Amino acid sequence: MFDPYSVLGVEPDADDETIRRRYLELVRQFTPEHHPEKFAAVRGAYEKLKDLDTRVRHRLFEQGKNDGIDELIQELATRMPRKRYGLQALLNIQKVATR
Amino acid sequence: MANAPATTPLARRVELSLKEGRIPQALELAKQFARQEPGLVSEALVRKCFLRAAEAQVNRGAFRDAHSILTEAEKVSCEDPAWWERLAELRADVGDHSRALQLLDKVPDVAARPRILGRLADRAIKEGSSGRAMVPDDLKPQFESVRKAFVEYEAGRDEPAREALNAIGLGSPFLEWKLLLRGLMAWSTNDTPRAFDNWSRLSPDRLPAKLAAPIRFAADKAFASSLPADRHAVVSKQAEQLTGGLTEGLRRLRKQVVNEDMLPAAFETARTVVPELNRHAADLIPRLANVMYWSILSDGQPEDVPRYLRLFGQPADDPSFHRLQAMVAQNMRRLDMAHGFWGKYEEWIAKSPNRWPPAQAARARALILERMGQLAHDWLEDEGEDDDLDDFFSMFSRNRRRAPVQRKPLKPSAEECFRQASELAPDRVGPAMSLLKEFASNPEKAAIALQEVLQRFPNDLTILQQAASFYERIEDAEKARECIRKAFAANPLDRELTAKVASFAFDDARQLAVAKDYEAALAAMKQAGSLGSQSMRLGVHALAAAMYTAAKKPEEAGKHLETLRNAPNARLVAAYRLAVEGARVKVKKSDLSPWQEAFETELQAEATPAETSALLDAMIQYLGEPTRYRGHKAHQTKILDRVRAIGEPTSKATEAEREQFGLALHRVSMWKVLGEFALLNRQSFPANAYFAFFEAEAKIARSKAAYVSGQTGYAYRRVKNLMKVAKDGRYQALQELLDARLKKNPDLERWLSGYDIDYGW
Repeated sequence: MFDPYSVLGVEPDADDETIRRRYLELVRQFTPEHHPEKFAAVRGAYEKLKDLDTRVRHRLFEQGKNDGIDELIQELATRMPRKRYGLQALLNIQKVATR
Repeated sequence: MANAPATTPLARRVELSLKEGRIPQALELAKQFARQEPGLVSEALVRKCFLRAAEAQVNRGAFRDAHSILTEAEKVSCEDPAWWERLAELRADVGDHSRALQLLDKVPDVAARPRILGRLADRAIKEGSSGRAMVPDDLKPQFESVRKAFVEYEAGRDEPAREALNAIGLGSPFLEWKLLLRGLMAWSTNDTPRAFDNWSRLSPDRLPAKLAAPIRFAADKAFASSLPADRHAVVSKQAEQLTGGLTEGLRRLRKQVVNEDMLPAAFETARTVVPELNRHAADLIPRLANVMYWSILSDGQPEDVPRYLRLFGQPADDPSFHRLQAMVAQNMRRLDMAHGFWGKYEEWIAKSPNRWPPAQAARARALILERMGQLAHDWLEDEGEDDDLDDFFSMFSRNRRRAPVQRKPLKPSAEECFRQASELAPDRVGPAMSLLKEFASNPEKAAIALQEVLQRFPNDLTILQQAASFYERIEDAEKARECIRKAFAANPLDRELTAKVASFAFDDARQLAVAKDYEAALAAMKQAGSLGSQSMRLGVHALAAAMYTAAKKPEEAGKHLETLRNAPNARLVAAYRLAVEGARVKVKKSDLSPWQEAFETELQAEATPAETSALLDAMIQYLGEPTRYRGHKAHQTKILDRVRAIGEPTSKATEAEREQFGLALHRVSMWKVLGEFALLNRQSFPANAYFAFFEAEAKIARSKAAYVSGQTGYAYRRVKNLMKVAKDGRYQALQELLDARLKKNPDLERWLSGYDIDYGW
C-alpha cells in the first residue's frame, strides 16, 4: 500500500505548512543512513502531497491505485487476534479436509 | 464396475480388485490363489491384501474390524521383519500397545521401537481420556502431562501448560506433542518465529506435524510451497477451514485480480469476502474497493461496473464512473469518448462542493480541462490514424472502402479547454504553455497569448524558451535573443542556453566584423569563446582569421590560423570553418579561394572518425544559427555523406564512436540520416541498444500520429530488451534519453511494459 496520507500521518485536509512540518519531523526521525526504506517512503509521500497541485493530482489520478490484496492480508493478520486452537479443533480440521 | 473375466489368472484378478478398491474381495481371491498355487508369490500377495485391508479399516476408524484382520494376518508365517514391523505399526494405530510391542520381538531393528511408541502416543492422544489405556504403563504419566498441558493452554494458562510439559524428555514418544504445544503457545502470543522454530522440528509422518500444518500453511509461504501438490491441496483446505474464509478468500482474490479473464470470478470472490471483512475490519472495505476499481481499469469489461456497484456502491470520488470510463477510453485511444467522460467528471466536481472544496475543485477542474484540451488537440492530430476497431468492422459493410470521415473538432475545443484551465489555475504554467502550442499555426493569436503569458510568468524558464522558439519561428531574432538571454540569466548553468548565448555572441561578432567594428567584434568573440564548446572556439579562431585577413592584417590572421592548424583532430573542421567564415565576412576572392579549395580537397581525403565528428559538430552549430550561409545545403549533403560512411560495415570507426555520431545526429534531430545510420549499424551491432534506439527515434519523429504505432512501439520494446541484458551502467545515458522520450510520449509506456490494448470496452 502506498497511501501518502498514512505514510506521513496527516489528515486529507491538511495544508501545505502542516504537511511540510510533518515531513521534516519524519525525515529527521528516519534518516536515509539508518532507515533508507522508510526515508524513501516519506520522501515519495511528500512529493505527492507537498502542494495543492500535487495533492489534487494524486486524488484525481492515483488515489487507491497502489492498494493491493497482499497489504490487506497483512493488515488483517496484524489486527485479528490469534486463536488458541484446541486439540479437538485441530483434530476436527483433519477430518474435514479428508472427507 | 465390471468384475474381471473368470479366465483371468487369479493373481491379476487380485491386483485388479486392489486397484479398484474392492479389498475384501481381493483378500478372498488372494487366499484362494495361495491355496491353489502355494509359493512365495501367492504368499506375498496374501500379505499385501491383509495390510491393505487393515489399513482401510484403520483409516475409516473401524478399529474393531482392523483388530480382527490383524489377528488373522498374524497367523501368516513369514520371516520378513518388515512384515512384522508393519503389523506392529497397525497394532499401534488401533491402540493395542501390548500386541504392538510383542510383535516388535520379531523385528531386529532397534529403531523400530521408538517409531511404534510414537504411533501409540499419537493414537492415545487422539483418542482422548480413554487413550490412557493405549500406552504402556511407564508412558501413562507423560500421556497425562500432554493432556493437562492442552487443557491449560486452551484455557489461556501457558505457564502451567509449560510446567506440565517439563515432564516430557528428549527421548519420549510424546516429544512431538511437546513441540506442537510449545509452537501453539508461541503462535497464540504472536511469537511467530518461535512457533515456526518448534514446528519445523516435527516429523512429517507424525500426527502433531499434520495438526500444525494448516496453521503453518496460512502464515509460512516457504512451508506452503514445500508441500507436494496433493498434500498442498489438502492442507490448503484445512487452512481455509482454520483461518475462516476471509484470508483464504483474499488469497484467492489476489490470484484472480491479476488475471484479466478472471475478473468476473474475482468479483464473485469479493462478494463472499466483503461480509466477512465487514465483520472483522470494516475500514478495509474501501481499500478492497480501490483494488477492484483499478482492476476494472486495467483488465475489466463494462459489465464489471454494475458488479462493482452491487458490492461497494458508488465510489465517493467517482459516483457515476465517468472518471473510470474516461481513463479506459484513453487507454483504448478513444479520444472523443475520453474527452466526453472527462467533461462529465469535471461538471460533477464543479457541482459537488461538499466533496470538493472550492480551492481543490478549481485545481482539479483545471487539471481535467488541461487533459481534455490535450485530447481535443490529439483528436484532430490523430486523424487518419483511425482506430483498428472501425477498420475491422468496416470489413463487414457492403461498401468496404469507406471515404475517410473528416473529424470535427471536439467541444469544448482544445483552445477553450486550455483557456478555462488557465483561468481556473492562473499560477499554473502548464495550461498557458499548452495554449501557446495550440496556436502554433496561428502566429497572430500566439503572439498575443505569448505577451500575456510572459507578463504572468516573466522569469519562467520553460516559457522563455518556448517564447524564444516561437520568435525564432516567426523570424523575430531580436525578441528570440531577448528571451534566451533572460532565460540564461535566470539559469546560467543550463548547457543548452549557454550554447545558444555563445552562438548569439558568435553571430554578433561576425556581424560586427563585417561592419569593420573590430574591437566590438573581438569582445563578442571573447564571450563566444568563453561560453562556447571546443567546436565554437575553433569557429572563433576561424572568424578572427577571416576578419584579420579581410582587414589586411596578415600577422594577426596568421596567429589564429596557426592555432587552428595545431588543434587536435581539426584538419577537416578548420578548413570548413575558414571556408565558411571567409565567405561570410567577405574576404577577398584571392584570399578566400585557397581556403575553399583546401576544404574541397580535405573533404575528398580520408578522415578519422574524430575528424569527421569535429566536422559534424561545426555543421550542427551553423544549423543552429539564426541565418544560414550561402552554400550550406551543399556542404551539409557532403558532410552527411561522410557521416553515413561511418556507419558502413567497412568503416574503421569503433562501436563507441558510431554511438557518438548517432547521438550527435539525434541531438540535431536529423531523423532521416539517423534512421539510415541506425539501420547500417544495427546490421553490424545487432545487440547494441543505441542503434535500436536511434532506429525507433527516427520512426517516432517522422510519424505524424499523436500515438505510438505498433511498429514503433515494438522498436522501443526491442531497445528495452537489449538494455535489460546489458551490464549495469552500459546504457545509463541511453536510459535518460528513453526517459525523455517517455515524457514526450507517455503512450509509449504501454509498449515498454508489454501492455496490449484490449478492445472489450
